[in-house]
Amino acid sequence: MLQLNNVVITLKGAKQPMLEVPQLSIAAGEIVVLMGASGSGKSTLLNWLIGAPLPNFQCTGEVLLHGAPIQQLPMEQRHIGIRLQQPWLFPHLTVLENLLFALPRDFGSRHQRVQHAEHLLTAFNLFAVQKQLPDTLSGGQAARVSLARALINNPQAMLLDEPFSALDKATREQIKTFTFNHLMQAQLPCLLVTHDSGDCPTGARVIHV
Amino acid sequence: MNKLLEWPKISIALLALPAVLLIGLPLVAAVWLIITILTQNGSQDWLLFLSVGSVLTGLVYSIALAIIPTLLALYSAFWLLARMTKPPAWMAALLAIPHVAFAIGLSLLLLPGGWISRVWLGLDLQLQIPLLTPFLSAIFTDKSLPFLLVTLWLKELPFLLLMALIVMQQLPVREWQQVGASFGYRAPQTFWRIIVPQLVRRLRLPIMVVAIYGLAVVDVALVAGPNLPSPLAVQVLQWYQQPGSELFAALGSVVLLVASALVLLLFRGHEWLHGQCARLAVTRGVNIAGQATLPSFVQGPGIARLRKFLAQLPFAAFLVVQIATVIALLLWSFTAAWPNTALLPTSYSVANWQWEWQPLQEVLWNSLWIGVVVASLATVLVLLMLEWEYQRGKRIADAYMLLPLLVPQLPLVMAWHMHVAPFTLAAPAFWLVWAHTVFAAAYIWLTLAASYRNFPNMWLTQAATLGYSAPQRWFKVRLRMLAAPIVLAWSVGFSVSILQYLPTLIFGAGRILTVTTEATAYGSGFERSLAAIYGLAQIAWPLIMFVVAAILANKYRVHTIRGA
Repeated sequence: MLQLNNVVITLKGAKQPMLEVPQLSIAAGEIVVLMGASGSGKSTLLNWLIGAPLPNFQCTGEVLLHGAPIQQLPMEQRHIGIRLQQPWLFPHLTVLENLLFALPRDFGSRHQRVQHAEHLLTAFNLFAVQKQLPDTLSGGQAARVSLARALINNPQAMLLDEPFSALDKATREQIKTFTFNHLMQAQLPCLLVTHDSGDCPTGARVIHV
Repeated sequence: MNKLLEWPKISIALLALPAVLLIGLPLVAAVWLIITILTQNGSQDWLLFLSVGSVLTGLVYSIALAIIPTLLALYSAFWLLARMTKPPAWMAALLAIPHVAFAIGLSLLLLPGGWISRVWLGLDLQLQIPLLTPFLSAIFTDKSLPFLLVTLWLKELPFLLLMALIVMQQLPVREWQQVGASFGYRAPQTFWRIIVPQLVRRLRLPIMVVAIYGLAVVDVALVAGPNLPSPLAVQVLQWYQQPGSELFAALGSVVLLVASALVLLLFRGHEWLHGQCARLAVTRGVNIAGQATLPSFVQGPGIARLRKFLAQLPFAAFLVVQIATVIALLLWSFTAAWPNTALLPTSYSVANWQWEWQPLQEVLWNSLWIGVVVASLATVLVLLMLEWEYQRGKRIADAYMLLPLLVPQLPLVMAWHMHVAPFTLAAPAFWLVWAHTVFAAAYIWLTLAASYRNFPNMWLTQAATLGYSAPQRWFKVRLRMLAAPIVLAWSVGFSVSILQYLPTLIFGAGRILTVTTEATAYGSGFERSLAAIYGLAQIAWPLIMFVVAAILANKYRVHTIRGA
């Protein structure tokens, strides 16, 4: 479970807070949508949750992941996956290598690691493109690789920052269903921020900010 | 391409022709020389040449100078970048310190009698334990290969650091770091695994330029390098200047050219090997279990600030060394007496400056007019080439414009001089300016081409629809909007002209002296105060022009277009 208590984000020098989240709990397998206009602090909240440096903001509050506070931990020890607007695949690595980069080293031998990554690529219908470089992929394929890469890392929670906005309409619907299905399967607490009500999964809890 | 935006094709091609010839003729001369040497000299000549004892040692030195400082500078630049938050903007000014001035300054810091060796000697005497003095004097004996290697390493470091920073601005570094961190990688781990392989690939050209400079370095080698034997390039120059040894000079220059091809191949190999190692590291995945979690008492904000401060120390040390070389030059230029055990001079005087002012004025003036003419000429030629390229709609190969930087300078200048020597006596200034322009144009191309090529056509289309003719559009829109990068490129061309040693020495034939020929002459001698004065003189013009260019560039960066 991902819990946020008394979170306040203020632009440095401003008197009024930009975003306030008094209390928010996201259970495993649940997707909560934070919806608001541009500049309302949604993406800043996600950046704060993953521990990115925010020199222009003052952020206070408590974040608990499975009951343990994480706000003092460095980024790399939070075990929170993030999926941004762009897939941010490493352009010099093949699809398979992008996944292997994210797979924890203690997973097993090289053979086991490759086998596991290939298994996931098959499940994501990406096996055929595993040797390709990211610039040869379609938008939908890149989005799926990005999600597969985030999930293979075995995160404890998942944050989605307008993950479908860079896709065309037809691909968007397909990837949306695909993403939400896989996130439900993975039983992760997920926080999705968007300004587009069309991005919300059916039946999800929506919080307007 | 929008036809509305074109100049008359014939006129632009005619204007670009001198630029093509300017760069092309010296290269043709070099190729011609190689063919002549290879066809006219038999195995007897080569055996005689190779039997000279100093040749092979000199060649090994030259190859070491190409490889070791380049790799050290490259990886220490990465090491600094992995820890650095944001470098100060004035760091670019470090590039204005010419190689020879830096070498003189560093020798006044590190060599016996230098500032740092005095500090250590003082400490050792205070503590009565010889700690570092024996180590320093063993490594940095007066002018040696290790000192030359260190000089080139520290001098090339800011260049590669700045080049890497420019490349990093074109990469989504912040996003990659975020993605890496979300998988459990610490920032330096993501930097080495993901960002560095990209940098190694994209810095290919600057790395090769640095390596070739090291291979054929003469001026810095004369100031900081070993004498017996010298690196091969220095020997080749000595043979060329010594009547009756021209054959050895020609054969030596061919060896240098072959060695440069080998060095370029080695660096392509390094790039490939680095890519393979990085792939291996990437596919091993993130070692989350093996990452040490800091105990809670070292996780507070105070400790975080301290760790951040400590991480900046190596970069601060690098800056201190760079600046200390200039301070050492300043101190020595005003020194009247500086006993060996004293940390600072015991008395100062302006007598050195007064004594040297007359000859100094002459070389400062020579350097200034040559620099201004060369930078202006090279900038105009590069602009013509870029406009010609734009009009043709077909790229000029960067390699053609940058070839003077990828071929060792000595064989190129020597071959060219051999062909035109009878004419140079009548007008040495003409040939000297031409020779400088070839190298200045290459650096200006390196600085300016990307901005020119990426200029949005939309602005020209807008001006065309408002009734501006092609030349008007070029002058009032393109030139005006690119004024800032052009001014900066001009200052780069000026600095390149100032630091030219071989073209000045060979084409000037002792009749045209510049701050660089004099700084090298005094720097390779034993008179520290004079060497310091000429070292400072060599820094003066590039630094002044750099500051002026930075101010002008800042002024011209405002994109305002007046009406037709």
